[in-house]
Amino acid sequence: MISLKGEMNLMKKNLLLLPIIACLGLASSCTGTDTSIASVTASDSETSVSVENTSEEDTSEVVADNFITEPTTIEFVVKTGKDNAALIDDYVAGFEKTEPNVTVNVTAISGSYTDVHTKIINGITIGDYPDLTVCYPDHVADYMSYNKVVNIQNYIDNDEYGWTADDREDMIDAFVTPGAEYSMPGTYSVPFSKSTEALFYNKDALLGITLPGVNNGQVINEHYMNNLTWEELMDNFCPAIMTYNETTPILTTSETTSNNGILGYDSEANLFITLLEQYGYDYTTLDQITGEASVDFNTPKVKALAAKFNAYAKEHYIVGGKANGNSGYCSAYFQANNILMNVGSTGGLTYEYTKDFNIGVAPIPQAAGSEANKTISQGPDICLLDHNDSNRELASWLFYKYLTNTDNSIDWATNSTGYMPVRQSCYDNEDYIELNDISEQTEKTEDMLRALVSHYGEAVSDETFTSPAFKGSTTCRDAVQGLMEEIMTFSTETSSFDDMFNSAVTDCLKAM
Amino acid sequence: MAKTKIKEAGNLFVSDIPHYDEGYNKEGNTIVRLVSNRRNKKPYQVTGIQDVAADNNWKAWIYLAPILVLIVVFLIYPLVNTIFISFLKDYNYVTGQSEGFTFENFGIVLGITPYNGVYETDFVEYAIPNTFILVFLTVPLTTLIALLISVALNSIKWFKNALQIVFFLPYVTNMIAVGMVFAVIFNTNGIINYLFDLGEKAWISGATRSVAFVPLITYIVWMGLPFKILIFLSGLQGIDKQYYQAAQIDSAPHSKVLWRITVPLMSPQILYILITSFIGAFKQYAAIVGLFNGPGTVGTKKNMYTIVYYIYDNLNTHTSFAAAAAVFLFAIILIFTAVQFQASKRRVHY
Amino acid sequence: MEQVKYNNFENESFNDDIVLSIGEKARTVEAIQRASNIRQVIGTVITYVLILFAALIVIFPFYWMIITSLKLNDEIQGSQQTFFPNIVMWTNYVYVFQTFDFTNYMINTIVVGIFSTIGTILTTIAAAFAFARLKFKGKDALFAIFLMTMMIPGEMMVISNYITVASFGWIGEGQTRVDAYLAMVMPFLVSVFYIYLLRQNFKQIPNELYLAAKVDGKSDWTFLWKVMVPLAAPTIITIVILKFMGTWNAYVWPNLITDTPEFRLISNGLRGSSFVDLQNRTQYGYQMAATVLVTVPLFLLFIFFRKYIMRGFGRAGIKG
Repeated sequence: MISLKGEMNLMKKNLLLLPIIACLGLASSCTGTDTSIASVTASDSETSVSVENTSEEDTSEVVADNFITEPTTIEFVVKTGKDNAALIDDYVAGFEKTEPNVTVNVTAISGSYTDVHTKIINGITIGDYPDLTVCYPDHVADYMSYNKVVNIQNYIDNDEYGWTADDREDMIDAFVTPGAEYSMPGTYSVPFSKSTEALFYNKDALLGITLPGVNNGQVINEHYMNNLTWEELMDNFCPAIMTYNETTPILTTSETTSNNGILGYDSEANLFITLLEQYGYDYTTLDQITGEASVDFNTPKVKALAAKFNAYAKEHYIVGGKANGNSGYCSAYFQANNILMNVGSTGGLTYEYTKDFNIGVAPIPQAAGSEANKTISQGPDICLLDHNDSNRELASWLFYKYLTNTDNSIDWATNSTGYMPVRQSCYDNEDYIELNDISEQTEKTEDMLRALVSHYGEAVSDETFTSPAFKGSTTCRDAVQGLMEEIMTFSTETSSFDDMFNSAVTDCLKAM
Repeated sequence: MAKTKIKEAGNLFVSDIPHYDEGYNKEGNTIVRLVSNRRNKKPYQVTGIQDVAADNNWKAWIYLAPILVLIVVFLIYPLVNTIFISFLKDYNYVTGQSEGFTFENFGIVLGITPYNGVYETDFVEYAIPNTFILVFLTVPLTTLIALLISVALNSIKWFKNALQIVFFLPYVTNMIAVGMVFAVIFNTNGIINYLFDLGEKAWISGATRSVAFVPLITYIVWMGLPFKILIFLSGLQGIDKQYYQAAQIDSAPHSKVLWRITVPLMSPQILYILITSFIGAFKQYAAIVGLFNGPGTVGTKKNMYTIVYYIYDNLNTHTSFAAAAAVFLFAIILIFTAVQFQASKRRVHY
Repeated sequence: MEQVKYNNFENESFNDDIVLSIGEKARTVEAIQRASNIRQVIGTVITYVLILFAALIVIFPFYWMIITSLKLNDEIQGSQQTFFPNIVMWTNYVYVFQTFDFTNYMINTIVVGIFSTIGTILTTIAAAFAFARLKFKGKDALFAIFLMTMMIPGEMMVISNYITVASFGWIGEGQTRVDAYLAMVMPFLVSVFYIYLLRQNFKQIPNELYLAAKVDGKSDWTFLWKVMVPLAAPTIITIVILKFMGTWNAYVWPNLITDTPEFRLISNGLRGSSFVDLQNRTQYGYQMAATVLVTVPLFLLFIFFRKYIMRGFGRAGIKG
């Protein structure tokens, strides 16, 4: 708060320059969110330094915002990835043109996001941590407990360099709102690389067949696949497929029995959490006023649901990613046609892809009678870490805004396999539409699958949900992962449901 | 000769000069050195062994000085720190703060005191028994097999070098690779089930605890062999051939040669291996992760927990509990090692 | 001449090698000789079979590591495990080579390895000598304390050491190469594990040698370096190899304390979860290829030094 006022004083010194530049900056960002073609070219000139890898020297004017007047260095921590380094470097170069006084150092941490979290926590211990970092909401809750996360609300609301009303509307709501749902009021994380789950299915095998009692005797068509409910799928469709398979084999049997089934689900934790959300049962609750969290899934209704899925697993209707010793993902089984459909992350489409058959993309099965679709939202956000330096905070915020402007968002989504754009305007962008035009794609290619996934993403983005993030929510997630794995185990050596649930709850409570 | 010369050097107190045989005098436990031919009064320097040893009293500290500094800073300080943390409530290593002294941590770890309304049963129910089972099964097994293999390796003539290299392989093989291999071998449709015609018996995932111990112990033995073989082989190299030749003259059978000659002569190495292996086995953790990818055979069940796994799980979230568990482990190992040393006093020959 | 058959020849003789040259009787002796030879051969064959069987078990994971590194990633994750890759993917190795800064990591690893090893050997020899030969007050108590440091699991040490090293200024902002090397070498310079091993070895060197040296007026220092070290050479070389391998394979600690990839060691760059893609899936093909690349040089090093270990320097000299 105090530092912000200090920042204001600094700015008052540059009174003459600032309003002019600010207006220009605002104007260009305003037009950037406009959906007309003219605005795209206008914002192009501002951001043309980044992205499209055109090697010509950019001679068009780059409008420098110059919000930062002193030389500032900020550090951005990302996770390493095959081609991401080049993309991020482009964004950095482009940003540094708009803010010449800012230098951005990018540190890439190898490993998983958990490794990034460990690195940051260790850094906090010795006082050496970055300004911006990729993070999962659970991690942010952890950083918050050390009072190291900047409340971005002020930056968002600021007139000069925050999000305008148009901006705010452009950002996909379902991605932004969870950033304000931590244990303290305010916004602590903002979206960066989002993905969700989709149902990938074998079009060639499924579409066009007729199953008795399914879909009112009509052939299975896309409409049917797009509106599946768990009840319809498990009680009706799957038994019918099993019978059908005996006479007309459409499944390839694998030697490993646990790989065979009809529907695969990569992440058991997602399955559990999604089911509870779809059926309206509580999973965990976070009271934003007191900051207290509670674990609520140990109820008879949830146990009844668990019993159902235990039966489904035993019948091989549903195959879990890790249950019964599976390798962790069902995509390999899908590719080998051991299963006919698989619920996996939209970011993992390269693993679902195979040239052997046409793949369709549909929403995941829902609960019968629910009004809206509910699919889990995944992917890391970005949070800003506190160094008691308002310059660095502002520079970080501006960098984040740059990272997620329309063009960069499109670029990030298309070039880094499977993340979804975070802005609505990305979906309305001409180039993006052309890139993902289904009619232009060849069948059975990966580009076709990508186009399908992108359309799916657009349709589903606003229907995604998240679960509360608090200290210990990662452990809760791990606990329900194990719980669901055990529920879906078809060996007879499992404990009773009561025991399973109790031990899962105990594990959650131990960490909270 | 020298003695006579000095005697005849024409010294007044010739009779006062004692005669000594140079070298080590067993009765007096002294060392005699001829220091100089010219010093008539004291040509010999007689020093007791005790003196020699006592002389080195302070020099030993010079030898140890640099090591002591490093050990105190990097080994002893963490040890003391750990014990200290185990008495702190809710110690947070990031901020270095805690909520005061307490004995609660030990109670919580043992499942006597509740924490957040729940009792920690995994430690007493799984971690401690599992650790003890692993220790008392793997260490004797591995040591015995390593001993037999090294004796065999030492005795063969052809392909000796190649085979010795082969047995060192597990030491350089990556843990993940080994985990994958064991997963394949012990898979429900893997080789073991095929060879022994067991159908689709689950050995790793979905198995009961007692069944899951089989692949785990195999894994640990496999990983532990190379180091022991290496140490035993270099110990075997140092045994004098004369012992074996004498045994050959007496037509001693192989088993007698092994137990009456080889083992006693290698007893320092064997003691070293036993002590360090037991200490290492108590700290077993990586093998569980390598094989089960988690603390149990099914889901969240922690039935393959070990003490160090518990410590690792709680290290970042509940450092105090991890420290308390570490202190338990420390006490157990300390007692056990002390007992081992006592038992070995009569059997180890240097 | 009649032939005398010595049926109970063995029980009455002390040495199978004695040949009675009583003319035609030699044949009977030969028969007995042959019998004992056959027994020896059978014994050797059995030994070889058992060893080969054990060797196969031991080699198998290594073989698996290599073929996995040559497989397509899908094949590794697939439901059917194959014993030979369907397509041999040499490109896995090419990719790993391209993606990682080999020379830099190699230099870091070699420098850290050499300093670590030299430091450890010097400190280990000195400490083992002090504990094995010299008498001083508190020797047993001190050794017991040394042993006690082995009884705490490494995970707990890491936190304390991390904070200690940070307080020395070796990690954190502005970490220089020297800082990083110091932080990687110093905490693990002293190894009680190896001190204990060498002490056992030193203790086996007979007292007579020590006394003889004392008689000759040699100081302890000379005795240590001129007599004990050559005698304990196989063990010392073993320690050198194991320590160097330890540095080569070290992953957790160097990863923890290096901020930038510039100072990392080879294992760090190539092992662990480095080959995890954006969806958090481990790409086993690359991982195994990287592992093989890290492992093989080490293995070759071991083969090279092995003959020094196995040679066993002149222990026989004592008894003569």
